[in-house]
Amino acid sequence: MKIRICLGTCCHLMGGSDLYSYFEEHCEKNGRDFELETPSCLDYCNRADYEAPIVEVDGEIYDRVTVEKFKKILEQG
Amino acid sequence: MAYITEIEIIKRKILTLLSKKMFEGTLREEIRDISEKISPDRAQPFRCCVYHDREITNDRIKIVLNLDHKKYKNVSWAETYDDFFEGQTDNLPILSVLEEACNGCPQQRYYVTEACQHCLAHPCALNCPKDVITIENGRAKIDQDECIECGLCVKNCPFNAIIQVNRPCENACPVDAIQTDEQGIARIDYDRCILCGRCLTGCPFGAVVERSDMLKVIRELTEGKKLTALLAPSIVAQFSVKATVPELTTALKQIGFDKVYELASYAAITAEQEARELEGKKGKLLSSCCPSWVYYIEKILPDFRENISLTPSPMKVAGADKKSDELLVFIGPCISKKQEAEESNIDYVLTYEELASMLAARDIDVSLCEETVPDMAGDYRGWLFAKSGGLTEAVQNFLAAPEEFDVDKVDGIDSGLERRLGKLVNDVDFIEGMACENGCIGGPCTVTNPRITKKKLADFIEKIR
Ligand code: FES
Repeated sequence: MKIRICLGTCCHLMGGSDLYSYFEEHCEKNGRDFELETPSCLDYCNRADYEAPIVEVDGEIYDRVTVEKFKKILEQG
Repeated sequence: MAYITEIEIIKRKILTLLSKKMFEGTLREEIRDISEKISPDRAQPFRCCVYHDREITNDRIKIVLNLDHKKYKNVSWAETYDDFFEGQTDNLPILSVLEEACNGCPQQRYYVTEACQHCLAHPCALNCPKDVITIENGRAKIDQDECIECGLCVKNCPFNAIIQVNRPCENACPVDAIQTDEQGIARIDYDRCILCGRCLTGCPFGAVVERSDMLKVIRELTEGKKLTALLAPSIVAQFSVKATVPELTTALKQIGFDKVYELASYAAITAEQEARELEGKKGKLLSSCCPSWVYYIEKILPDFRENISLTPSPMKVAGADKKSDELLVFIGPCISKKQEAEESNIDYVLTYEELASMLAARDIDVSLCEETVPDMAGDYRGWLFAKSGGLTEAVQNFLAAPEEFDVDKVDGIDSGLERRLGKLVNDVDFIEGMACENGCIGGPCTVTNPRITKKKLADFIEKIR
């Protein structure tokens, strides 16, 4: 599973570092095949139809990602 | 460790929009549009309708401007902005309750819910030591006036039908500084409030608000004034998990700061002075650099007042060193520094949240900035101040014989501390007091998750040591 947590300024401000921290703490060493990237602004935060923070999982974009939502996305994937 | 909530997200969105328009010079014309951006027509309203939500956002904006929203209720935005711009201020308290946003949450502590089955045994009533539970219309009823809040009914109900409800703001406050007026609206008791900021995030309606220097700072920046940024030690990794101080220095200069100083250089002076004070003192010493901790002792446990160190905090040391042609802007993780700044020679205080909103408004990604050496570099012992236990480590480093002094720390003020502190003071020579869990990196206005900041800070200190 390829996960990209946007850590551009806007996503960081709206909670990106919580997602990153959660990932480091719970997902990195649990044996599942996760590949993490932390790109800078993915250019969604300026668009009216998306809200930070943004996470991309296997090419699919999720917005307004809270830690709870992030957990669900990772479980389902 | 608490994660960010919707309350902080809304606050940060408002700050970002305000700074963007202030930087662009269009705030006067566009300030009225902000509340609509926050609550667009299509949005699911938090309250009865989006118009009510917008009203509350407008009130929040006025508080950020340090203007009394009630006084400005029927004043046009242009006039309101002009008053702000001309330097008018209503001197609001640093933290206040926005009454219109307060839910007036129920105060009574125990409730019988619909899950009550009207059972034959009714152990709730049977076990109530004051006999204040009666059965009415097929449901247990608690006489709230007589209830002594012992909780026995909760424990004994076989259906878990009785619940305990507390006001979240009161729960969050470690010093009992939140009271309720006749309308059930929360009030801050400023004789007890220590400005720790827990109620800010503790209130799920976002009814506690803080005033801000952010727009004034942006104004000074855009007018080309000479501003010096003082970076509190907990700033490492606050604006990007992939960058530290040299990249941030570039970003700050890009938005117009003239100089960037690492407060850690002044913190080392504080640590050394505090070490000398400890060596010369017969009694016990309580650290003095966290203002909320100092207010806690002064207001809640004044018996220990004499024990507070006389050494000035790093921010005060920096204020004393101020040059005549510069304006000092302290950038830090907490609200209480806004109060301390009024007692020191500091011109403005920005929180990390406010600066991050400014950077977001300017579209500056700190991790993509080049590295610039700050105009004043810090001492690694000063950087230690950022985390719980670090101040002690720095002071010990300056002691001739550290083994002769017993030390302990308060890592986050909680409601039980009042009882514990006496024993703590008895047992040791020096106590490091931090109002927030984890120390400054866990402050109420930090942006980065403290778990990450802790790691990045350790790496950073290792590098400069
Ligand atoms: S900062 Fe994440 S999409 Fe722009």
